[in-house]
Amino acid sequence: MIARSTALTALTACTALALSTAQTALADCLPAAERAQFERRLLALFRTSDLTIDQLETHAADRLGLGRFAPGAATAQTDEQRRVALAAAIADSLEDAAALHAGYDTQLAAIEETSRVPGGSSFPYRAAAADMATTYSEIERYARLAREAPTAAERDRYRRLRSQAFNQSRASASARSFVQTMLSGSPDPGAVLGEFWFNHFNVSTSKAGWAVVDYQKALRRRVCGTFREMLHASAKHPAMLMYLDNFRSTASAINENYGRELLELHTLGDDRLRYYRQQDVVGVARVLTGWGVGFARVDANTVRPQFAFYRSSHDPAAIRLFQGAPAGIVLNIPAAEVSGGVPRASAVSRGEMLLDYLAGHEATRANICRKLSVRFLGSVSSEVIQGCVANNIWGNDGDLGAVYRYLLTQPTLWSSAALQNKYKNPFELVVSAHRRTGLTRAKILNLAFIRNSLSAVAQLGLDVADVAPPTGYDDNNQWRSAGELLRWTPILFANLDVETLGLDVGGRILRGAALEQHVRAELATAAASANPILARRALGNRLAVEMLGVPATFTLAPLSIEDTFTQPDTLRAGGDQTVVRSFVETALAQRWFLKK
Amino acid sequence: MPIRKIILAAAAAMALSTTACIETAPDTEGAVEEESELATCQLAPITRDISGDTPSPALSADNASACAVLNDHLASIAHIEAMMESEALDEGGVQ
Repeated sequence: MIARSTALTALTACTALALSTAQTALADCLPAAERAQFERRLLALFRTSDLTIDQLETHAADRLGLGRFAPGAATAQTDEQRRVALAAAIADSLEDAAALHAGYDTQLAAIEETSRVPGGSSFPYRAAAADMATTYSEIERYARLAREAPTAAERDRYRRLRSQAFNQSRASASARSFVQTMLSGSPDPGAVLGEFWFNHFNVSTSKAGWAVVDYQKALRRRVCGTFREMLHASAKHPAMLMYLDNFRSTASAINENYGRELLELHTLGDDRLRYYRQQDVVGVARVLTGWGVGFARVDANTVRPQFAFYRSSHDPAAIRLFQGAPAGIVLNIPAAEVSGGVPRASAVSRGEMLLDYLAGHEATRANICRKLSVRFLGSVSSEVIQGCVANNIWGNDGDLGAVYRYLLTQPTLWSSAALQNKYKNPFELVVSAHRRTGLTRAKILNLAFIRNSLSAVAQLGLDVADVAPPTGYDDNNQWRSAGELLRWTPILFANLDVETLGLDVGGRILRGAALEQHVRAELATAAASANPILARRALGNRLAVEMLGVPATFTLAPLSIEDTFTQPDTLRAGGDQTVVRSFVETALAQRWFLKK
Repeated sequence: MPIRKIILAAAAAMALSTTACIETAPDTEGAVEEESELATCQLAPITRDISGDTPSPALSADNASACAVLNDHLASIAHIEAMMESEALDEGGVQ
């Protein structure tokens, strides 16, 4: 057995490594010195845009966030005041983009239910606020108890407890994604970027389970740093090491999965014929052999999973990468220093050199700029990409804050060319629908609501935090289909709550029964008017704007409004649905809501 | 792979008792290991020194440390694979 002193020495050193990673300072997506200029540029774009302020506000909420909230109290602001406020709101939210909002996680973790497993945890999302070591240690403790159980009954009990703990860690990752975005601001580029980078460096809870919550936070913490830092954090995280199998890659049994996706998805992009060949996938995998997951015992009850470099499993041979591809930029990785024929611990720097090379590569710059351009602008233009990859924006390591500011101040983004030119994915549909109905925090932080919402998203085709393929989910109108509208509305509306929806009437906010009474009174007035059909149509459009924040330039389909308002109460969804609810479902079940 | 099984059997109990964060473990620490474990730690297939020659698996202090590292890695792999297998077999559970 290894002398204890050796183990403890290494543990101490590893502790230092792990802590230094965890304490990475939050960089600024919008440094103080840049703020004034950034706001001025936005304001100038808003003033010259062919979009109305209504459209700009909705567009900002949809493209730089997860949709608008219900309007709430009316404010008497001029268009210019609203433009100034919008520019300031975008700047404020960009400054805050890397914030982890630990308070949301704490509240999520405090949600209680009656445990299905006797003796198990009654807090299904507690992993959202726990560190990875705690989450992992609990699962591992039950696994050990199951192995050591003297009876079959006890073994089965501990297995159930282990299963519960594992599934709760998975559920916590999904629930975090949902709650963080439900509670995020409008606009909120941080929430968008957190999801973007998690999708770009995709892992699934099915495979990486207990490590995913920590992984989400590791990426979100770095959204305003450099792409290089993000890449290193992803490459060395237990979640990624397990998800793409690098934890098992050794010099005598190389696993190419991570190496392949590192080149094809995370950095250079799917461009095999130009920048790399299959032999480079193997070469990259060789350089990353020995990059695995270690389990450091912290105390009697706690084991901390962390990145570990197993030098004895590392292929130390010098290697020349990317020389076979037409546009390949050769990278020479020198041989590792060896001691007694075995690579030294310092050989980990060979893999780090590779990551640094990839982070600064021209193909990586173009790939990331293209994806971010699609995310924010909904389009790709060579001119925009050219500007994004330039040294004064990307820099050496990928200055992500500079890239975001560059893209967010593109005229195209704030023009009719970008307005509603993308389709929402199922996650965005569900979140944005709920945000429109003015849900309170108490209603959001509710077990049934969270589960039903995530279930709805899954039924629509997206498993939050559990997308199986390394490509993640598509951000390029994959969700568009002829039957989409008819398919998703019943799924979404089954969980929709309109009780918190409010309407400002002469300075008073009406909700629930009072709102229903007011709308019925308005309908009675319309019925008594000279042209009831036109009056009901005008009422519908006004309610859409004032109650749901639908852009004023959008007109609801007149026939659907007429049907909704004239339908007998006995025929409204079982005879107990309110006019308000019928109207909300009608307004949201239209093509404008599918898009962003 | 018989050698791998022997190493795994010896290392199973060590999986959580020794640190596997080997990145900064000194190369020349005086590790003390039982000779039977050293005898079964075969490093030659995966190591080459800079000259390209394959060294004989001399049981030096360096090799002892390297064997421990290899054992740790194999134990880590086995541990994670066992976890994944357990998780794949689980049914239901709380969501």
